[in-house]
Amino acid sequence: MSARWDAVVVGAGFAGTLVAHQLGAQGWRVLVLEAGRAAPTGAQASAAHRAAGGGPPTSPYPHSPDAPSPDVTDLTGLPDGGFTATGHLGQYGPLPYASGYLRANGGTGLLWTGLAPRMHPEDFRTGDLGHGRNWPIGYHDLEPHYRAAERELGVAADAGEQRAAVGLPIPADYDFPMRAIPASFLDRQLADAFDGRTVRDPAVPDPARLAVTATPHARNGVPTRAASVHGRPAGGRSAEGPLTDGPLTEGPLCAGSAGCVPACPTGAKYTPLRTQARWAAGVELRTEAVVSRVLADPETGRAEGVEYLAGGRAHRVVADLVVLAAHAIENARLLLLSGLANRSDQVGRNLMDHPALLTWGLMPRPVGPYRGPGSTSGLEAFRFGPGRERRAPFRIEIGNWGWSWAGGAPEAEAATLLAAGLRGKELRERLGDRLGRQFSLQFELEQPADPANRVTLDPDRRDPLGLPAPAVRYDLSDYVREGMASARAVSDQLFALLGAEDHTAYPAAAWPGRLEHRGAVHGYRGAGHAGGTHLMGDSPATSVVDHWQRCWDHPNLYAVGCGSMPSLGTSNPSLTMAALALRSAGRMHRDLLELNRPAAVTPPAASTSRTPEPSPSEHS
Amino acid sequence: MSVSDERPADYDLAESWDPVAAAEADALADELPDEVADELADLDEFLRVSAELTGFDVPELRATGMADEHHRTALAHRVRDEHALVHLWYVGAWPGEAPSSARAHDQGLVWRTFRATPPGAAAPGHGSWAEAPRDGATRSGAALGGAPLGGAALGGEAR
Ligand SMILES: Cc1cc2nc3c(=O)[nH]c(=O)nc-3n(C[C@H](O)[C@H](O)[C@H](O)COP(=O)(O)OP(=O)(O)OC[C@H]3O[C@@H](n4cnc5c(N)ncnc54)[C@H](O)[C@@H]3O)c2cc1C
Repeated sequence: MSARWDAVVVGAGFAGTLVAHQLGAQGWRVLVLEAGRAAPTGAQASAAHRAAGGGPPTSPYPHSPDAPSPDVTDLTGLPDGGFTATGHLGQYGPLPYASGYLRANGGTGLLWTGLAPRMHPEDFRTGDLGHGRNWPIGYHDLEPHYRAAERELGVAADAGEQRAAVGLPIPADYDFPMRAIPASFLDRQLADAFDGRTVRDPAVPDPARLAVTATPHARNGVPTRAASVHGRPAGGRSAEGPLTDGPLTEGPLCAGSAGCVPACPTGAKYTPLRTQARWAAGVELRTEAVVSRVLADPETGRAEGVEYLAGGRAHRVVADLVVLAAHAIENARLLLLSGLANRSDQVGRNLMDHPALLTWGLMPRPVGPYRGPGSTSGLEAFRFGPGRERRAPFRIEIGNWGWSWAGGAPEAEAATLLAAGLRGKELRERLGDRLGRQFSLQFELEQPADPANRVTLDPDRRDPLGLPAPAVRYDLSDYVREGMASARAVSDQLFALLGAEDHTAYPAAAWPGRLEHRGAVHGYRGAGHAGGTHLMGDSPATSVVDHWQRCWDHPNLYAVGCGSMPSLGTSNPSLTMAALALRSAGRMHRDLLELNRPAAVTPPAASTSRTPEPSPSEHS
Repeated sequence: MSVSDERPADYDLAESWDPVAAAEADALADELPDEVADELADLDEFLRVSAELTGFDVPELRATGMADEHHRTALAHRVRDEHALVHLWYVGAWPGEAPSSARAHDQGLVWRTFRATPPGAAAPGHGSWAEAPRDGATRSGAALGGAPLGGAALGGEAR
């Protein structure tokens, strides 16, 4: 038996879930193929994580043996420098790509932290600034879609503060769905010491003025006027603009469980499962269905469908549109496995992340770490401006969770003091004193697109299904290293302003991501922000997708996700990715209308509820 | 300005995901005398020794609700030493092992030393993180501040 789907979406993670939702809401029949297994609730994942005594972010989620996920514990630093890697991702250095991702229903969007800042207009023109690549579209093209994404994800932020402190052009009448998440006690101590003061970045002639600024979150704050005025609107839409239906708020207020990664136990953090719960009936999800390649007509280039492996067999589905949403690294792998979309030779290239330089220490007085979301505020002064010509810009996140990302979580501290022989009251007091004063700064640096940083198919390694595993070649340029030098210089001054004890050190064995630059040692973690591997551009000669995230070589094949982004700026990328996905879903809807035009009686703008055809079943 | 060399690590950060491994290494260094080890079969004696080693008094230890579970865990191990006992109470796990339960993890004394709760274990309320931390080590069993989550959060069955 053979039947067509209107669209097949590969991957029920962050981006795929949004695209499927939008298409389903327009009445299209969408098959979502998800490699991983069904996910537990946040409460279950959190409990499992605690029962195991911790573990890396993917650890409390079900791991399908057929769809392995890489995680940070795959990397081991060597005592004399350098690193080794095991697991799904082949790492060919010289430095490690230091982030994981999750293959389970909901994807990495299950375990993300939930920080959801917009990118700045300047971030779309990094090529003009002399580093990396420009976007084919700008902030203003994306602005309405940012609003739609903020509605769908439920973003808590203060529009006025985002305008004034970050310089974002946000329309004057706009309110985020929810008020900003309250600043932590730590944030306020830092604001007391920093606000209005200046520090010197050695790469920039003028001093930088400090202002502790609230970070937008995709977790529930107190609803604003926008939410109460609109309530749950019944779905205004147009063929051009983004859909505006869907909730402004859903789920409980963030209650400060401080476990956002790997799982929010209360459901206050957005995950794709929230959107999946509202999928229209025409959206069908198949889990443990690992797509192995995209099928395309060699003559016309049109994608015909995909092949997937499930239950020990290969299956084929045919569809009018194919949407790859398998994560930046897996999207590139799928295009390479299929031998498609690579006229530009850019598929898999330009792999980017936000290398995060961490510094940490002890405040003079207790600050109550390990409370609230992982980071509630940051410093924005090093993200924009002329310094960008000389060194990678960075955003400073104030870390509410003590030294945990640096490797000095309370259990580790206890083990260390115990090993040092402390017992009884002395142990209790000394540990309490130290843990209570822990804080960290997380400098998330922009890494510009560089074609040499690259995902390829590993010639030597296959996954359990026999598919070539992804391999990564990764380095940080001098530009990024200069950014690290500036970050560390700024950190030193910030610690001095705080009167804080600096405990930052990067012993080789604990820091697989570690480098020396101009005589200084820097350690970095990966922020989990993979991008660039199928980047968008103006020309099929130099980019993989157009500004709709549509493969130049295949008019009905989309590759969505951070892989399409030509630069990441210094913003955590998922809100921008979501805005792009919603924008592309509008284009897909119009593509499908055009494809179905002979049968369509109503003009596109009015066809708000296309009646689904009888449900298809595909040959297998 | 940038540091030009690596500062000596006063902590071994290699254990970022495996805090118990470090402890395991020298777990045999401070074995309890045989007579103490034998007396541990008695719960009261177990608590008395635990109180001395942990710096939390017996009522505090009892208030964690972990006395019986930790006692069983300790008795299940042939080699018992000071280090392992303190580790059990502080981290909720015998060195080198996973916690005996999510509850054991959540009740780890390490969090009580600074009146905190482990990530994901409690829901102290919106904006609670903006408040000044309560100072001093807690003297009561009320360290798990605010409204705890349901059974799932405090170590019961997942919902
Ligand atoms: C620890 C951590 C914290 C993070 N915090 C933040 C944050 O605070 N803010 C932010 O903006 N971003 C954050 N991120 C990044 C964010 O998670 C990603 O940007 C986002 O999840 C990417 O979405 P995606 O849909 O492209 O990929 P994913 O969400 O990973 O989804 C991809 C889906 O495709 C499926 N898939 C893969 N291969 C196949 C195949 N062959 N066949 C079928 N299905 C397949 C996967 O199973 C998965 O479900 C974080 C990441 C990590 C690791």
